[in-house]
Amino acid sequence: MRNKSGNHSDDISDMDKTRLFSDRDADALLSGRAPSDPSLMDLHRALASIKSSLVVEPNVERASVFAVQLASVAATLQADAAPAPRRGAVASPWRRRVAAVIAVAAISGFGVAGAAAADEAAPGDLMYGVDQALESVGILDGGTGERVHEAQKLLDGGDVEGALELTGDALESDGHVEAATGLRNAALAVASQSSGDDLRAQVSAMLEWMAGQDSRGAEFGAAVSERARQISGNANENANENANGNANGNANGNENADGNANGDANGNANGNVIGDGNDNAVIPADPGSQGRVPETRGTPDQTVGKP
Amino acid sequence: MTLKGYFESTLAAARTGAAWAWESIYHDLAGPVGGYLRGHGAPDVEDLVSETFLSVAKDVHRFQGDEGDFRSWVFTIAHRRMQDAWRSRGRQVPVVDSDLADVRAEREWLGNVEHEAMTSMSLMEVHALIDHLTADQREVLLLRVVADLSVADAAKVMNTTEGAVRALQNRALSALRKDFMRDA
Repeated sequence: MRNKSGNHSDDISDMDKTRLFSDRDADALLSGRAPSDPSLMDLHRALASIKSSLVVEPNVERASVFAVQLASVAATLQADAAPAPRRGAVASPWRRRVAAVIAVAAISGFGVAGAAAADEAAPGDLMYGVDQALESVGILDGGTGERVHEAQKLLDGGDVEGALELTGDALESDGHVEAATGLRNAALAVASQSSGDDLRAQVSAMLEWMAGQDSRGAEFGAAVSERARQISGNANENANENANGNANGNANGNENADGNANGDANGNANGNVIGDGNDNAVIPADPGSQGRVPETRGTPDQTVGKP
Repeated sequence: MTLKGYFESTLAAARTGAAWAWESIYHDLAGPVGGYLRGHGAPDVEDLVSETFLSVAKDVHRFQGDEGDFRSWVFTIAHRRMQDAWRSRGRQVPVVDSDLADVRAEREWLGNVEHEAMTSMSLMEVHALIDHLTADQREVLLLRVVADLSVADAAKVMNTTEGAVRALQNRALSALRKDFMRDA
């Protein structure tokens, strides 16, 4: 009924608005001060009631939980907006993505604790904040639908594996294919672990380390691969304990051979580091190399003689 | 405008990700933002408030201006979030099943008991007063009274002139007063 009369009352107010109020009284009414015209006091009180009925002061606990989320989002995107031009290098896109992923991990981690602290308010807000943060990762990724979708899937899991994969993609698109592969292996290894708390911590540490690196040249890629290999190595250690026992036996037996063939082995030093017993056990792709390496080492003369 | 002299430093700290700064911004603005949305009859007000502040946090490094500008910026975002929410609901007809009806009745007729004890109007009464204003009149009223914006800042949110805001606020007040006189 009142909606219908809206136009009508508008017309009337158009006619008499200047007679009803001085601008001063209108300003007083709207900013909560008492008007000079006493006949407007009812309206003054009504406006005060409208305001106090609509405005609900935020819950203190909820506010401080939410403030931490807001601060993480602002900090992440601030780093994005104003990359510190250290050494004149332009911040690479992956670096921003890693920072965003870490922020998301931090938010979801905090959210669990926050939920426990501030029961009722938290659950809904929490999912909301994480969603939004994930959305921001998507935006950082260039905003394409595919990326957003992918990031959201990862966020749904809210897990480190997801962060690793996302980071892997970012690395790959920046040309660090080897590092990306290493990260994917690490992600697989972490995912296959049922009790992966310490592995998760390692992965987080690595992501933080990556975010803190300025260089993104070949050394960086190599360092990422190395760290990823360590992580997936640790992940497989438990599963492969028996297999490693055997491999270690071989490796120990060969240590003497290496010692004897010191001079010859210099050229192969890098190969030995990578081809170390543990590392080979870690990467499922080269199971055969375990068998091969001792052979080569056991016959140093042949190796030397061939070239 | 409770931050006043502290606004610059609070904003600077908020940009660098200081939780205390966000806490004081939130304390200052969450109530009015919620009130503004509630006054417009927005759905899921709490979610929209969270969404608004997350947008603010995301874009705060791009914001430039004083506290008045900041407040009008925040309410502009709140307004957009509300429109998005309505748009995403599309033509969805609100279905009130038995449970929801109870909750709704309690909320809208009885109000929040705690909150209600301190105020003299239920949300239902407020809406009875302001819902028949035109959309623009209601917007001005909420921006000036609930959001505490100046005429100039309200004009920024509404993307109009100060003169237009003054005309609208006068009409809104006249309409409210006429209602009062009719009731009395």
